[in-house]
Amino acid sequence: MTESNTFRKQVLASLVAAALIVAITIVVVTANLGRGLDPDEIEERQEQLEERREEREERRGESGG
Amino acid sequence: MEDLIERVTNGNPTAVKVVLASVAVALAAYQVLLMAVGYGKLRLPFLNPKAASFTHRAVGDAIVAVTIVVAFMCIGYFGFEDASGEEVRATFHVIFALLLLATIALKITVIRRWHQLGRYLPALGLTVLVLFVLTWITSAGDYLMGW
Repeated sequence: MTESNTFRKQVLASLVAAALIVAITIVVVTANLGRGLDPDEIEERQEQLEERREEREERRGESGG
Repeated sequence: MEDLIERVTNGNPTAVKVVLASVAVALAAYQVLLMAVGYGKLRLPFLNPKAASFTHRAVGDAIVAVTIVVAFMCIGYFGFEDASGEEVRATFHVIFALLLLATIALKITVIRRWHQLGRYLPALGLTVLVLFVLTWITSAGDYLMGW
């Protein structure tokens, strides 16, 4: 096997390892989303997001009308 | 800006940010391993230093892209002032994140232009990893594990 062939294979293998790290991280993190928050906190954050959305819509309504 | 971020994340900007930031941290740890092989500090029979360095560069480009997207989402959606009652954590998060962006910018400058400072690259790389972890702990870590 030539040196450049070995190099190419090693680069490819290490990039595949990086892709695996990405996939595993996405699966593990998605499965644990919100685990650190108690139900009240999750609800509170959801409410904050809703409030932000409403504020934005109000602002848009004011600037449009 | 906020509308765009909401649309792109299907109304889940926090969750998407947490996942992307976690991917960046995981890849940053992998980067340190790759450069340990690249600098010959760690010898692996299946990976030579040249290949490790090449992959480090490619993965590094991907990390920078992900980090820019996360920073864009963070500043564009949450801003600097939205501490949601957690001012201390949010302040540390902003400080670590700004330091991280500055260190990444310095590292890229050293690699591409400022070659005489090349001897500091290992220290800069480790600093980037530490700042990635600290930035993650003060945001995604809090969301995932309640730290």
